[in-house]
Amino acid sequence: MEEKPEKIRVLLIEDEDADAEWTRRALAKSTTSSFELRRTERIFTGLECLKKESFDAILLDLHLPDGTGLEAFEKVHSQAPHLPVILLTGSLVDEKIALKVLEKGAQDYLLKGKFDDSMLVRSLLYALQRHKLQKELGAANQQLEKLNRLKDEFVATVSHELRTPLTAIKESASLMRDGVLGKVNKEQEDFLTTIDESVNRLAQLINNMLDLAKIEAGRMEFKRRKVSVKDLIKTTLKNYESITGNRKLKADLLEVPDVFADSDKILQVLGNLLSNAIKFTTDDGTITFTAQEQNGEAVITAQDNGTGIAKEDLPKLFQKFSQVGTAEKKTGGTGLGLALCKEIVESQKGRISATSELAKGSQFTFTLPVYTSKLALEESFAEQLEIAKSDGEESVGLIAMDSGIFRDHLEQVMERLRRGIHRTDTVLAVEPNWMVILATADLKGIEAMAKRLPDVLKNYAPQSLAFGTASYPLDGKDVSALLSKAKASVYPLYIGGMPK
Amino acid sequence: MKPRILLADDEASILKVTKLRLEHEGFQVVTAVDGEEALQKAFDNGGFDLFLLDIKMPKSDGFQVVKKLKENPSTAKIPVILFTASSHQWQRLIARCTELGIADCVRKPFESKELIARIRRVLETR
Repeated sequence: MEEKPEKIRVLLIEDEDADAEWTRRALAKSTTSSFELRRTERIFTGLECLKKESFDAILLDLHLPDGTGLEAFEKVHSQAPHLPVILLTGSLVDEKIALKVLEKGAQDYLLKGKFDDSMLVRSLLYALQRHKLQKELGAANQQLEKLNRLKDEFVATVSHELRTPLTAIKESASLMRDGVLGKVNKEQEDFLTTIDESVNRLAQLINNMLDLAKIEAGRMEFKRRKVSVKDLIKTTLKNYESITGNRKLKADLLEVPDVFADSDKILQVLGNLLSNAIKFTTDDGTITFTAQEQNGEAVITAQDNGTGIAKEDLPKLFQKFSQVGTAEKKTGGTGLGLALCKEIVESQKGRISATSELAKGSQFTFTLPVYTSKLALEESFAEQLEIAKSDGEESVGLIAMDSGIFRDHLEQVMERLRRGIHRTDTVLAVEPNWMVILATADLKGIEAMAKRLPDVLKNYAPQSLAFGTASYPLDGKDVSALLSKAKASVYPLYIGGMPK
Repeated sequence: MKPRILLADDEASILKVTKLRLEHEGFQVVTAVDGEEALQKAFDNGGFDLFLLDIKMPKSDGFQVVKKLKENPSTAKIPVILFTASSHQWQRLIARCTELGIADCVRKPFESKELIARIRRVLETR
């Protein structure tokens, strides 16, 4: 370690005179560094010292008349969070406590009677160096977070700014093509179709890029609901009908349970897989979708009998901008589609993989979690909390109504939310205050609850209320009207999905 | 009688193409470029069958416009469709649809076919 020309100022908080004297001598003996020691016998006098003078490090006895163990450390650390603290402990029992205090931010500990002069000096110098590095790392992290926020804001702005003119271009072309602005001839119509298709491709590229950026920044919002896999696959086949040519599209959908997923995002995945399959098969090819349940997951497969992918290309398949295949067979993709599929599927707690054989075809398989009411309940509450929070409302009341599902799972759900963690592993920064009222999910139950509300709210005034029902037996308006007596914004949520 | 629609959006290009499309589909369209103009036209001209409002508008945003429309007896019963391009606003919108008394929400960028279909449905169930 580099020798420091300046004196290292150390505050020693130690009530035993003999120990203090030993420390003083040990530091004085050091030939590598020069220390200036200031000693106090109590924590409170130590804190006074910290206010008046500046130090480089603190040596803290863990057995002081006005504080021991973790409490002693926290008193000192809260006053001087910028200084490294080394703990001095007297016994083996203390060593256990010292280990705990290390987790809270102390730099090191030394067992009294078990260390010599050079150990003390070394410990101090290491602590100083480590603390300096930690501070630098913290500053660098803050800088990175700031840059990341700027990037996210940029992405959001760009997204809006790019989409608006694209919409105008697309609509203008389509108005002309539809003859709204006068008759168009065949050739003009052909060119307007080219504009339309190019805009669609550009929009797709922008959307893929923005979606990837959003997912990577953890900013993608997923609205997961109970979704029928069969419906998703059928919708996908229908969406791509116009570009399938003479290819045979088959759907072999065995008994597959509903999944818990964001249907728009899964449609994106299915659409990407299907359009890839179309691109890489000849006009007389066959594309087959299958779906089934395996080990508590829904397994969805898209298979084609097209050109296939070389074995060495398979590992690169899901990486960004990694178009595989030879240059002459480039097919106008963006190299982002499969990367996006992977991010989406994994964000929904699924997995995606591919197998392929050249000239025989490829098979893409992904999994999704099967829907359970518990998954839905957790997510819905977490979503409502997020919305309330983004509206700047820090206290949120949760009212759960229903006899069965809610009672079964409420406790677990509450525990997870309290810890600020929900299924997507997003951390809620604010730990909300809340209450839970259980009522039966009929109008009577709601009325009974509404009557009790003013009483309950006397001691607890949330700025917003979220209430949930497992099915949708009630008119949202009735409930909102009743709950409006609570003088808070009301966020209704429906576990069985939004009413149509 | 052609149904009368008040269309408010601060994007001139969107306003222009949407107006033309709606007129082509047999609607009569009055446009506004900000929240204040929308309110002024809603109260002055009267006789609207539907309000079609963007959320992000200068002077008075879509949420504020809806609130004032719902407070005024002359406009309170006229259905409102809101649209937004922001995914953050979209979540808020969905969550508060019932509370605000909004007939439907559309996400931007919209396909004109989808917009027309939603408008027709709202007008039919009015």
